[in-house]
Amino acid sequence: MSKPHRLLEYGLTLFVLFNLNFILPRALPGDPLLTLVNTDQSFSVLTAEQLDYFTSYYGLDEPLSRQYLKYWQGLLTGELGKSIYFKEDVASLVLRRLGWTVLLVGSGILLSSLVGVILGSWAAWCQGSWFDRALYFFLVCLAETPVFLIGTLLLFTLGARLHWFPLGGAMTHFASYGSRPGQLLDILHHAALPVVTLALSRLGSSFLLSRNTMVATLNEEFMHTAYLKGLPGKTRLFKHGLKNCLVPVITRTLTSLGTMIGGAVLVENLFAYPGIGGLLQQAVLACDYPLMQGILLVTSISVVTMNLLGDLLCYRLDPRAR
Amino acid sequence: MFCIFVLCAALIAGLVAWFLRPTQQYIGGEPQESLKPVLRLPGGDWGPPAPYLHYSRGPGVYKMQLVFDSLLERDGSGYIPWLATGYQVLDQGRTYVFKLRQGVKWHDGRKLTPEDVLFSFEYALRHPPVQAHITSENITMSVEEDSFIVHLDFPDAAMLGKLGSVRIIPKHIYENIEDPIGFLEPSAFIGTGPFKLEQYNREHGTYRFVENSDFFGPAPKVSAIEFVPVSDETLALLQGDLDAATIPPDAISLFADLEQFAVMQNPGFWGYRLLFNMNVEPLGSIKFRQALAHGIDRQQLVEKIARGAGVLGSYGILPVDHINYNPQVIDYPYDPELAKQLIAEEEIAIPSLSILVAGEREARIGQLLKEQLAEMGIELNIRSVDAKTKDTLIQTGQYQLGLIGHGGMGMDPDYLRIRFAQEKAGQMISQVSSVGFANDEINRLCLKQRKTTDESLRQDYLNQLQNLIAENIPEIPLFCTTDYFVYNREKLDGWVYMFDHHEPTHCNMSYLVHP
Repeated sequence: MSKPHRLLEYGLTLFVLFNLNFILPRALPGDPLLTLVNTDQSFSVLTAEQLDYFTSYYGLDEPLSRQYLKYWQGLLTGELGKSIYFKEDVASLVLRRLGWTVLLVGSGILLSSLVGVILGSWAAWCQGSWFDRALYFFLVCLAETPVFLIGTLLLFTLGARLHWFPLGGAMTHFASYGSRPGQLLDILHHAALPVVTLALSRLGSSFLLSRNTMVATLNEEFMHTAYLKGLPGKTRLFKHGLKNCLVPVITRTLTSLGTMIGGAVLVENLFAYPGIGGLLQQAVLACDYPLMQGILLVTSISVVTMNLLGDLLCYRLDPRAR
Repeated sequence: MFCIFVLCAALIAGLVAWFLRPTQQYIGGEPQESLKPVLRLPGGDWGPPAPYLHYSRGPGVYKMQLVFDSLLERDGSGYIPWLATGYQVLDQGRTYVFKLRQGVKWHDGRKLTPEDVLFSFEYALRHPPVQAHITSENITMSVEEDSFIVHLDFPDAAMLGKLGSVRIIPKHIYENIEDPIGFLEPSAFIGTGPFKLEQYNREHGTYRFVENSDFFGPAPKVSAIEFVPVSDETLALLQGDLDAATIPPDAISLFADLEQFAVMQNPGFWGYRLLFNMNVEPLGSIKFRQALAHGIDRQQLVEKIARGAGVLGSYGILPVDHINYNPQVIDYPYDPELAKQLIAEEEIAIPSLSILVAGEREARIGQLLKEQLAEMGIELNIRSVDAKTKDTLIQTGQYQLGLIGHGGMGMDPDYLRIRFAQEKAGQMISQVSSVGFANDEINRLCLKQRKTTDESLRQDYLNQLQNLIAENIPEIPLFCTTDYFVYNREKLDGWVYMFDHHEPTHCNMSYLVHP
């Protein structure tokens, strides 16, 4: 498919996603104003005039068609509206938390891909040996383990028992850092357990993909030629073999962003991490339409962009695709 | 490849710069040195602690109340003088006169005036705060010297609490603010409270309140209160990251041998009740409902669902810890044989019923009820939906039996009127009662108690009301949870519960020196 066609395809995908972003939050059961009143049930209710005041303030009394037009206006001008529950601009809310999710998800993807590729290649090289079989079994089990269970186990052992890592949060609060590197180290220290949790949850699939691709590559004729030429094993594996099986791995890595964000929601809740995953959960519970729209928008654009990037990289790395 | 490398390096550098940006929001100036301890409690983002900004959840409200005072405060026994040194209820409950305290200062050093009080009430009517206590119906206000006077068109027994709870805001700051929801300047957090907001970080959910050395009331026992997010409160308490928290019943044994920790059991103001759709036979029959009451083993629910941390609900609706609870109210002890006998006597055809639940806990309650009612020969089908769908179905009466759980059961007992005597269904789940229930005598007593400001006479009406409700069983209050509160006594002791609330960290008196 030509580049213009591909870009048109992605543009159409985004258009459909933007429309779904508008429809889906409003299709959820619940009323944002009733949720706004309170769910603790401890306080006085809003009177009819107070309900009218808030309904008008948040534009909930406008017909759907007008809300839809305003939504598209906001998309085109970058104005994502005000959160009903948090009473703050959606763009500002999401941007402040996005970096933390990028750190978790990005590091998790990178770590799991790196380790997965190395282990997968090694296992493929030793195909059939006890090492390959043991690794295969262990990582398949890991792949089937829910991410929150992995996180809980790490929290209890490395955090609560051994005190190697903090129990939650993104940094030490109310601390005065002696230096910038000190602050960065503190952030990385707090991010370690959540990142390792996400990485472990994805390691199994990354390992299986790398291993299977490498097994197929090792059976190719050019690898046999390399062997006959007398090249050392490491050179054959990492220079010739790995280069040829990286394409599906990279593509898979970039397209797994969507599922990683889903996993990040659970991990952020478990470790009290201030990312957009936790924000999305609160938005859904509060029926906060503007905030749900904003987060889904950012997520949709990220996933589609990563898919596009994967396609372009694939095209670049594999001469056969050009 | 070089381009990709440069792009990745730029991305990483950008991320690093983003993480190292200043994130702490200093509101109240530089920290002060003090010998008093700093208290650490579980955090989470509950909104900026101002009357128009906090989120509509308990923790948000009570953080705001550390900074902003009201005319009256709550302790374990009831309402106590606060910004008002006293009050009078005149004209058979139609006039309230609050005597205002002198010498109170705002956090910015300016003096509190009676005009601030009048302004706060008028502003709250024009711009409803998150916790809206008063409405423009029925109320006119004025000030005379150092008194704030409220006139009502008709008496309202719950009005003292409502008037006493309105947060007083500074006129000199808010008089030019037409959009309080968008007002996020540091001056939005100027109150008269025992604590000042020093830091608030929305994305991390952290707060730091420091003591107000110019506070008019009892001195704070701590120099600062820090709210920090943690992944697990039990672990954080054991590790010393927190100084107090509510702990699951199963984890209490971890603290049993630790000298520095003390355990309190919270009053039961959050619970579950079973609603009936009385348009579905035989739920319209009082005898059948009494049979159900005898056939349900509520103690088993407390043991298995609340893990023992609960108390049985009262059939008079007001829970046993409520300040207006009637200890003489009728009870229906668990007696399955009596239940079967009642059904047989009335010759009621044994029905197949469905119960509407949402969530894992309610599904488990539904399962236990199914087993218990099976012993009476009643087949109970469990209909499980998501919480929002269930709320909608309950409010529109689309159920046979409905299970709901909520808090606020310690509030002013006027909620009985809203639940049983109001013509239109309430907005909140706590205001909803069974479909098809109507009783003229209950309605009459509900209205009578509302208009009575004489406390002993009102209690008399409430006792009668609770008995009448219990006789008619419009719903079955299953149980109320009584969670465990564990605290490090070396950091802070003397925790106080407000008379109508289950959480001691929400009571300002817990942080202040008191007899």
